[in-house]
Amino acid sequence: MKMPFRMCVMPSLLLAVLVSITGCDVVNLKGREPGEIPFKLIGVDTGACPMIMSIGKQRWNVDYFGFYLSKPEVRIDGKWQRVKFKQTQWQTPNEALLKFHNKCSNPNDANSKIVLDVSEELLKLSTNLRFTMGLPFDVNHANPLTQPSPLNDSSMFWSWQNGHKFLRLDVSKSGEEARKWSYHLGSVGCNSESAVRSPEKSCAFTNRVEFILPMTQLDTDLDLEVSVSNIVAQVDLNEAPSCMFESPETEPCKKLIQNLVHRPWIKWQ
Amino acid sequence: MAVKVLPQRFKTRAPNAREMVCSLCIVVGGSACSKAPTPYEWNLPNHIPAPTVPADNPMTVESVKLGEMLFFDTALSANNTTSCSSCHDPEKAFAESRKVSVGAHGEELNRNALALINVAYNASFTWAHNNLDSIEKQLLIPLFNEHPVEMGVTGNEDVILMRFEQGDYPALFKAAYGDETPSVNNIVKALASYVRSLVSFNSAFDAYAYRQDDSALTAQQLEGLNLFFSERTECFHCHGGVNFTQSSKHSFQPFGAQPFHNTGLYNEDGAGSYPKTDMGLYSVTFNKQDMGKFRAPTLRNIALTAPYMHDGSIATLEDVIAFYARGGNEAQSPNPYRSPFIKGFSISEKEKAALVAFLQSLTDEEFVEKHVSRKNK
Repeated sequence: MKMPFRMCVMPSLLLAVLVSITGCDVVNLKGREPGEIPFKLIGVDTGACPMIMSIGKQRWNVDYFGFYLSKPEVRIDGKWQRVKFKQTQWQTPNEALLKFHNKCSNPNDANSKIVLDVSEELLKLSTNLRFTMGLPFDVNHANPLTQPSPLNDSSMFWSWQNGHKFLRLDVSKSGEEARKWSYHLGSVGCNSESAVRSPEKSCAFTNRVEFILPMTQLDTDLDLEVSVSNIVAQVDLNEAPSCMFESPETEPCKKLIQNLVHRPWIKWQ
Repeated sequence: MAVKVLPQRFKTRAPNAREMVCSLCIVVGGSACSKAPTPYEWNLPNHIPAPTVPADNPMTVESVKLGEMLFFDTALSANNTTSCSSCHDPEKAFAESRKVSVGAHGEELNRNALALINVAYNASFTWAHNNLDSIEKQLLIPLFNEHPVEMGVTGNEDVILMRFEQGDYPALFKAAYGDETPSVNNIVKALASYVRSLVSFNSAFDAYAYRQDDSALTAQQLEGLNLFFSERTECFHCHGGVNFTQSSKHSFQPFGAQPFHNTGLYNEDGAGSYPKTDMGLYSVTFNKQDMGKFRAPTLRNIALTAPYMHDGSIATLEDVIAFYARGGNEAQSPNPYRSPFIKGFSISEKEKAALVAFLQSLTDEEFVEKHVSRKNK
């Protein structure tokens, strides 16, 4: 992933100074609590109803876009250190659901931030942030009906795969809404019944994506950008079939997973 | 037009003080707060072992009764049009006469609804899946599937649960689970208990084979029986055992075999490929060896469950026998996935009629009548 945009450093330096002067470490000047990292969609008009994504001259409604993150870690003095998400409706200590919703539907059914259960001081010491897009094997395959929120969000159930979708993107063409396209990703080809293989080896395709993002040690006020158009780059949504239950080795699933792994679809602003 | 319901999520709820006190009463053996559920009696023939039951969902009279009510209730679908019994009709041995099922929004599914007969003994569920080890897990598919929508529960949980806060339901939930407030998890448990209770072992064949009643089968049916268990037709290799399917497990043998077979129903490219819309077990495992493999369903009550095969593409039992007799479709083309037992056989019209007559002897009239009358109650 790329370094954060340098232009942000100076204003943030100023902010850091201001914060230290006022002694405020609960909510900083941007109105954030410690450990809060907002995610912003880019290339998508989030004020529109429904949200509109522009790809070249085409416009697509983003009817649903959400993904799970898990296993947050920071690197301090060269060592990775596990941290927790703050427990909320959108986060368990180890998993978080980001869910971007069009405002005309139910504005409360959306979450565009993660909140790490850490002090601002610890974040300032961190040189990297690491997390996984996806859910751990045991959480993914446990009974979703009895799991805590957000793991019991049925729109992310993937019952044919006996698990959860890790990422869900449903779009429809603006002005031609019957033309729909979906990308649903999760672990496939899993066999959790096997007692003789370790869990990680029991899925033919685990389909988790790990992110390692650099952190500037003075700057804790950046947002993460999420680019939907990077996820679907080089996939013609007019022509390509949806990718929901198909093998990751067939198109367009193959291209989509390559995009998730190689294109910087989550990066600092 | 379907009413759009705002997506809402259901929460797992901590037990309240009253419930905790009630639980305590049950633990200490008291009956002051609520009566403990009654263990379910299977009433199986002596030669049939009990099925395995998940430890976290014991069979009780109350859970089966609640599950039966839910199974026949359209309130379980988001738009209140479809019940489990819309596709699993007791008159058809809990299968359907349509080629493929139709969901609550009118969308066609890829597959024909399986008969819910002795499902408690299944080693695997649906037509082709190697990673669903309980009815409880399977049930999440029809309830929550969105592509296509089957019952349409996703995002509509709160609306649906509210419907079960009235009428007989609070008392039924209370009796089964000690809490009159419905939850999706308890609905799934009750439906699983009811489906598990659908055991059928009282056909003419059972009278002949297990109760030594020589008059239970006709001479023609006996001829069919002998053909069925012959190396010529090979039927029994996949449809063997007391449940007429290899894919079985029970309490003496908890680790069930999960055999899946490619019958050669399709061979799209002369290399064994199935249509992209449904490639059987391959669509779950993405292992090429699983191309076109499906589970051999039970043949009990098979005369009632037409049409046949996973996509309902064969209309009658006579046509199914003709299909296997010619060694599957496109039998002359190479097909590396086709089961070695599907190699074709010669059979006269008289023998075919005998085989059909034998398959008809697997119908359990008492079972069907009992459940049809309950449906009509």
